[in-house]
Amino acid sequence: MKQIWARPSFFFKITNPIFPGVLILTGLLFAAGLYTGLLASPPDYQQGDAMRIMYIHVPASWMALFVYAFLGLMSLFILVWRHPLAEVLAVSAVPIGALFTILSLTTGSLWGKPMWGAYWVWDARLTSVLVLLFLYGGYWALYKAYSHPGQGIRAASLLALVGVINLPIIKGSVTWWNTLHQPASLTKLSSPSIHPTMLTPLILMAGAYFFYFVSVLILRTRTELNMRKLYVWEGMR
Amino acid sequence: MIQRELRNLRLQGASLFASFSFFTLALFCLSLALGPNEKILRECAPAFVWILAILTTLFSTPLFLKNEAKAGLLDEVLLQPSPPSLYLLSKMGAEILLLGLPLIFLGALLSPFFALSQDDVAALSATLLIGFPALSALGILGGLLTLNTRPSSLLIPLLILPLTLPLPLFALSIMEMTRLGLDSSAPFCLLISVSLLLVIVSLGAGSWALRFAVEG
Amino acid sequence: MMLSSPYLIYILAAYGLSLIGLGAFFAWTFFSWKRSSQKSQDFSKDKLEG
Repeated sequence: MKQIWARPSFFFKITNPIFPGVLILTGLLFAAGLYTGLLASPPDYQQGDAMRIMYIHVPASWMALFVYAFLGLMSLFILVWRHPLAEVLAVSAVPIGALFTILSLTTGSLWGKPMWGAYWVWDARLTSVLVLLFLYGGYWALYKAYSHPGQGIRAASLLALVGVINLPIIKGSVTWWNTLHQPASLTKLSSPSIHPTMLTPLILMAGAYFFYFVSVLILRTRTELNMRKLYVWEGMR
Repeated sequence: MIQRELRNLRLQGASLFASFSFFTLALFCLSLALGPNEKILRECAPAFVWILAILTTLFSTPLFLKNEAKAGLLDEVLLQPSPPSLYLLSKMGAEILLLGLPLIFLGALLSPFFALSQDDVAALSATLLIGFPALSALGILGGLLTLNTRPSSLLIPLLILPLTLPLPLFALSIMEMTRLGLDSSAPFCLLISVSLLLVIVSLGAGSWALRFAVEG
Repeated sequence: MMLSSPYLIYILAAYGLSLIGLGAFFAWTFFSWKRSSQKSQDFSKDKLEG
């Protein structure tokens, strides 16, 4: 049974029919989310219109973490079961996760400047997101540093798992470090409780980002599978 | 087992000496660059010492591993009946003795450059003592993960530095509290637990990495 | 209403960056997929003929 799971043809059989639908869904969710976020919802009484940045910042952060969890899961499959499809999925997901992390950091920074006066502070959440970016980068660097991708993926998967364990540790230690130095910034930067009118665009955008991830993952996986086919055929010549 | 590791490490005396020199020179340059203001020196010193300890370990440990791998010593390890993590533990132990303790001693020795008080020096040395096993273990992990890669000196710090972050964070909190005269037992406990956790995780992952690296 | 907000530039920058970033990334992914499937089709054609 597991062999069928792992074959690329299985992947294509499942994803080819649903891909156009996923793409359209992504577009619709983005349209709906942007409409409700920018036009149909009222501005925050405290933050004004700048609060709308939340609708593109929070989903990006959620996805950045989700993709890393996905990567961790794939890495487990790779290390324990040597699952070939997991290898392809993991490698395809990393750049997307890095993109989300960069977007999270930049939109957060642009939200922070008008709201709290600084582009950057060393609080727990920002620091651990930055570390997340380094973890993505480290994974990619390690994977690419091997001339044989089969070796590289195992080393990188190990690194990913160590990173999964470390992420909460780092988050906890920066929180602790900050409670000593800047208690004020922690309470200032904690997100406000969500209003129903704000919840709708947030959920819509979160859905849009999620299905964006799925569509791009499918595309990248197809590309990676094609490249691997070429790699094998080139070798057989 | 530790004796064997000590011998191996001592055989790499040249690299060891290079690590010590790097640490000392860099500290010296930093203290010079900061200028004579005692207050600034005192505040920045622990951070610099810690960062340099991290960098020195992260650059040297993989180097030792690569040299040993070239000599074919790592293959023997997998042929042994004892688990590879035990081997890594003894390797870490040897490193603590031959690299860590001298570095900590050097740090304490060079403290006059930074106008540190006796309490400061004691606290700094204590934090380094607790944190060094984790640094060594992470360095070993980094070295093993990159054993068969195309040579790139900056790769390992990129991979491992983010993972070492909790250590200097807690250590610097401890130093700050010491400077203010507060009781620092809470961060000390946290530092000990984080260090222990990192050692366990790194050595565990390291034995996997060793198997991957040798099997190829 | 929103156009008069003092934060307009931040909102525009954040949204613009995100949408352009997502779009550009998608375009790059799409075109690299196109190129790879092109190459693999050429390759399999070669194999069948050759």
